Amino acid sequence: MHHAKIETTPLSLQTAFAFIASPDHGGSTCFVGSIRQNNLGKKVLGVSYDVFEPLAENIFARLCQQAEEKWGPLKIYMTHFKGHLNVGELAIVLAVSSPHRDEAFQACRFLIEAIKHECPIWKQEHYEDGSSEWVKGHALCQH
Amino acid sequence: MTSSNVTLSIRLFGALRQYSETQPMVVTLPKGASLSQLKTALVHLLKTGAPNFHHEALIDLSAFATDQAILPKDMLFQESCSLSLLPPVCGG
Repeated sequence: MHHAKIETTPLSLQTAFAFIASPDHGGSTCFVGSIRQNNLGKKVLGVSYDVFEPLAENIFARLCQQAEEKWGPLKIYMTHFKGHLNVGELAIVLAVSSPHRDEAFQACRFLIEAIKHECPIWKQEHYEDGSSEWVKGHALCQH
Repeated sequence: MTSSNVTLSIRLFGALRQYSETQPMVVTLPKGASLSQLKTALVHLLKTGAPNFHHEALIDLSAFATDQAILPKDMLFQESCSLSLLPPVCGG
C-alpha cells in the first residue's frame, strides 16, 4: 500500500515516516526537495508549481508499482506540492521503506528521477529583480 | 447525420497556461487528423487570439495527454475529446 498524491497544503516529513513505518521493514530512506534561494546566478524568492493532477497521480501510482516489481515489498510515501512556495519550503517529500536498506535506497533514487523526467509538473521561479521564468524541463513528446 | 469533424478541447499547462487561463482552447479538425495537424491548428489559433504569443517552439516540444496517459505519436482523432498539452516537465 502506498500514498502518492499531489498536495496543496504543506508537506510533512513526520507524516511520511509514520506512513512507511512497518515492523517488517528495517530500512527507511527519504528524499526531500526544497526551494533553493539561487538558480543559474539569479536570486530566487519563491517558486510556483503547476501540475496536471489526474495524470500526475496516475503516473505516481504506476511508478510505485514499477518500484515494487523491481525491488520487492516496499512502502512508499510520495507527495508533491502544487501552488506557491517560498525559499526553504518543501516541494516534494518521498519516503520509502523496505525489509533491508539497499532496496529502499535504490527505489527512492529511481522514484525521484522518474518523477523529474515523467510527471506533468512545472515550476516557475520568481526572482529578486521582479521577473519570473518557467524552468526548462524534460520533453515528454514523442512527436 | 454524423459529423465529419472532431472537436478537441485542450487545456494548457506551465508556460502555455497564460494563453488560456480559464477556458480550454477548442480546435475543430477533420476526422482522422494527426497530432501534427492538431499542433498546427492550435498554433494558428493561439497566434490569432494572442498577439504576444511566442511559444511555437515550446508547443513543438509539448506532448498531448489524457488524464490517463500521453498520446502515442501515431494517434489519429476519430472522436471529439478533451486533452491537455504538456510542455517539458521539471518537477521535484
